[in-house]
Amino acid sequence: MKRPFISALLHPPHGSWVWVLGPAFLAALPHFARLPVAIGICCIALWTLRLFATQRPSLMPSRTIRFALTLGCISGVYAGFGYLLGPEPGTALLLLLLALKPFEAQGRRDQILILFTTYLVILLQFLNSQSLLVAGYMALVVLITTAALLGIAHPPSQTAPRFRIRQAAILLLQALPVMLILFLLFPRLPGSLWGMFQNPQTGVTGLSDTMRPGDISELLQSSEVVFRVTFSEQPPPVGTMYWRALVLWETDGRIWRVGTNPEERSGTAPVERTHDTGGSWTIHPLTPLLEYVLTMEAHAQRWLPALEMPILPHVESRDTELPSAFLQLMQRGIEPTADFRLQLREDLRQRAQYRLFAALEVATPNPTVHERSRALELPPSGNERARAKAREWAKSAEDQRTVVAQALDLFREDSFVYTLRPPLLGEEAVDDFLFRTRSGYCEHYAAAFTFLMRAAGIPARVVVGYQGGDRNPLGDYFVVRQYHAHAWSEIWMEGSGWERVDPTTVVAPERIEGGAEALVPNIDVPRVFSSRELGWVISAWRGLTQGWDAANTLWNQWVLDFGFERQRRFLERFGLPGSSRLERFGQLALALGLSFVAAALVYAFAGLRSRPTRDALDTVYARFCRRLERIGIHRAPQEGPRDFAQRACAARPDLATAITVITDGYIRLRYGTLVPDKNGENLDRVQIRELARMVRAFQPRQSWMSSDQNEASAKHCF
Amino acid sequence: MPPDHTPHPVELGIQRIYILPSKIGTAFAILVVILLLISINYNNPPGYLLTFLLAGLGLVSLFHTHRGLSGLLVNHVPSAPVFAGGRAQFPIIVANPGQKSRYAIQVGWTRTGDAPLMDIPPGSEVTFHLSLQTQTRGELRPKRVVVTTIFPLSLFRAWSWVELPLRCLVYPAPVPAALPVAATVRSGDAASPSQRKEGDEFEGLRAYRLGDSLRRIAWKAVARRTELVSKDYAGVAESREVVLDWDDLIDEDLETKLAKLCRLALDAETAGNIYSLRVPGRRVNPGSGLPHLHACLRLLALFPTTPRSS
Repeated sequence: MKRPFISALLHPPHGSWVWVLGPAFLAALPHFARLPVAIGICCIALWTLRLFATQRPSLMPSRTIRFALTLGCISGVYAGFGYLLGPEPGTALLLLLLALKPFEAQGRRDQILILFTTYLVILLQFLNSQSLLVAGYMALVVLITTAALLGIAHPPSQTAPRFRIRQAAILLLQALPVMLILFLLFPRLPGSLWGMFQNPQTGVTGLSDTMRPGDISELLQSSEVVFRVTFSEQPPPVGTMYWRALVLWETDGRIWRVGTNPEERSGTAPVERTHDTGGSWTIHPLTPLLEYVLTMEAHAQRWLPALEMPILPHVESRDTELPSAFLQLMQRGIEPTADFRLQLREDLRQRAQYRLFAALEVATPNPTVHERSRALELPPSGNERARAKAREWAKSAEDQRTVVAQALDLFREDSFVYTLRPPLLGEEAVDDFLFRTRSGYCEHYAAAFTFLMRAAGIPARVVVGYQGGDRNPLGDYFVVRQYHAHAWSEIWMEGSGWERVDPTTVVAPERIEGGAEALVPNIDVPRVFSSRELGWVISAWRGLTQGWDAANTLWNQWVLDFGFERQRRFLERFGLPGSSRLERFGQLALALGLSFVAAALVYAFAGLRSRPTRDALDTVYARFCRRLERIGIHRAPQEGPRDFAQRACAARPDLATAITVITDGYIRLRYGTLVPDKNGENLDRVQIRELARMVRAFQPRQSWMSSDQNEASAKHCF
Repeated sequence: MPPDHTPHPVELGIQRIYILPSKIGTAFAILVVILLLISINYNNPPGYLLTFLLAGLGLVSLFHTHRGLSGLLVNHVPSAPVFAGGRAQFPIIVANPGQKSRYAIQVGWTRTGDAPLMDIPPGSEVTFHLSLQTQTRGELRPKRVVVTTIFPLSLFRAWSWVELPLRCLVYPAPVPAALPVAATVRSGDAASPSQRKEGDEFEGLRAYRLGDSLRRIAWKAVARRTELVSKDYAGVAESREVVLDWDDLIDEDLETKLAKLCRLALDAETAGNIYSLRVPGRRVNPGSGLPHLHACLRLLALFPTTPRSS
């Protein structure tokens, strides 16, 4: 049913237009999904009209109408977007003009112009989405567009799409080596040429610098990837993976905020201060360093999640030269902050990779006086019951550890519930939570615990970030998704420094050990499946998603992240640092030269591979002749196979049968009529193989013959 | 008259094939540059991939286009004579001795002509019918033909000039049949027996005369003598014998005379007459039949533009 339709579509008179407009439509399809609906409708309507106009020329709009339409499109786009320069309105305009172009197209030239514009439309899609899915789809569209372009040079194949697609596929496959060479070697620029016309990213979910009750449990709905981590050695247990993103200092009793550090505002950059004072960043690792590579998705924020505690190796040994790892961090625009976070200089607009270090156990230095006072700050009033309780603990307990233990005991013993859907809290959020609802998610516990600690006179702060990660067995890396979002508390103990206290571990230890999945089974599987609890569907889904994620990671790692930095590191391995301008020009020349060579080699190889079957026959016969040569029967160059066979038979009557059979086979295959169709060709090949087997089996012996001949010659002598 | 060429094929070797980007190819290069600039500006890796893929496509198609011509064998078939004003046909045979199909091969007089495209499967040959509009009589000798292809992507045009001994005889355009023409018409009792329509009966031997058919040569007699001898047949003079004589025409213009003679010869042939042709300096002995007609017309076609005095 489908096939006749397609072949009917490809027939004249509209066939040539289907070939041109089809690729354009396919390339524009993802744009239509994104741009205003009117544009898609306009384009599709105009293209359909063009196809109908092949049969009814009266449908062709006149010159005036076309001009009016063009003007209308431009003004419509301007009215819709408010500007014309930029990828979005530019694409819209290009698509509309692409829809109008066919009406004034005369012949081959205009069709080629449309096909070339199609390639441009494909590229413009990449400005919007660079995902593997889009790239895969676009690869298909490129194939079809190339097939259409091929048709320009070969009009007779209009109704033979398979021929065009096959030829185009061969060309594209042969173009792949060139693409790879250029991709790896073509010198990349660190920035853009004229600045990007990029719109600010909107609607990004994730952690923000304020924490309200319920914020983090909301993130549990999202399985969006936040970052991926590859450990260079044995990964630590999932339960110890605390990814520190933000430290919240200020609270009004209900909402926690990062707040502004007046010290940081006072002008000195935090890193410089680190070196001058030697204070805040002298974290001493107590366990061996863990090295890992973190691939952060663009989140349009400055925070960077880092495994607790992040370490800048060898920073304390402030010698003449800075260690390379530190330099690398600096280059990537990371600055460590006083509260042991890593922060980016600018909002992260595209996926980036960082190589980081961490130690699970550390000794931290004492906080500055200022920090101490910030970590004790509480709103002047509110949550009085909680304050009273904390003060009571502080009075009765002999040391701080007892206070902490008492607070945790409160959570443990007073039937607190860990739930995803906590009841709403009133204005006095901490009191409400501690003494009334007693159920909440991690942020409730972290907030309440930190409040209690501050009230008891222990410096404390809230840390938000992610906890745990899903291991992908295919790529052996961890994926951290939004549903790993977590909040915990950090307190400063006299003598041992900042310590992490995660009240959630007390209430719901399974949350930390098993991840968010402990609370919501099959959190990573769409609800359609999980509700039916079909075991095999779930495992199949997991396998698929894991495979897809692994493919995506490879794509991210080798394509999307291959920018200026990665290229330099990659080329340095081959001794092509490309640091000077001259070297970069050399690189370019090398890239162009190599790609030419590669194309030639691929072509030569493709030519060799399709060695004709007839040559195979000749090889077989040549081997047969060599066999006879070995026993002293040489074929004269001008001697035909039949004459040669007769002579050979006469010389060796004992071999006559084999010689005749082989020669007859050769003559039949060489000079017989070849059946032109495919099956006949196959039959030929089979027969040649059969002949080759016979020749291999044909092993005339010199010894027997020579002795015979010796006898004969001896007789002659006598 | 030059010796008849035994056509031998011309192989399109690597040194004869030229290849240059076509206009489309230039546009494609511009497209790739635009794509590259966009990719660089937006630092877009998939954009780079697409750009470089297209660059690779262009490079690969260069080799494909070149390979599309190399090794082809070009030959020609002698073309049939035409009257001036008609289209001279030059059948060109292109054979593909290789193992791969050659697609969209064009043969024409110019590189960018709109000649039909042909696919040549491996081991077979295809005839291209080239034609030329003729204007004047004479021998048309196109110097060379060009074999072209832009397959697969029209980005490059490969071509090869092939010099073939092409020639096509262009007879003078006959004047319209209605035109009354003067011609000497002699009755059948002409003196020379050779001017008679030959019959079947053997009459005797006589000295060979130019124009005698090879079949009439008495080879046995020749073997005994030193000079050629023709057999003479007696026949009944059924048809009239016509002498087409240059001097009988009163026109001033040489070309008009030739055109009239051409018409006369054609008419004489259709009427089934025996006819001979006399032009200044040359003559064709009486005879009839298509070869004879062609001999006459050939003489007219190749008649020099400045007549020698008779």
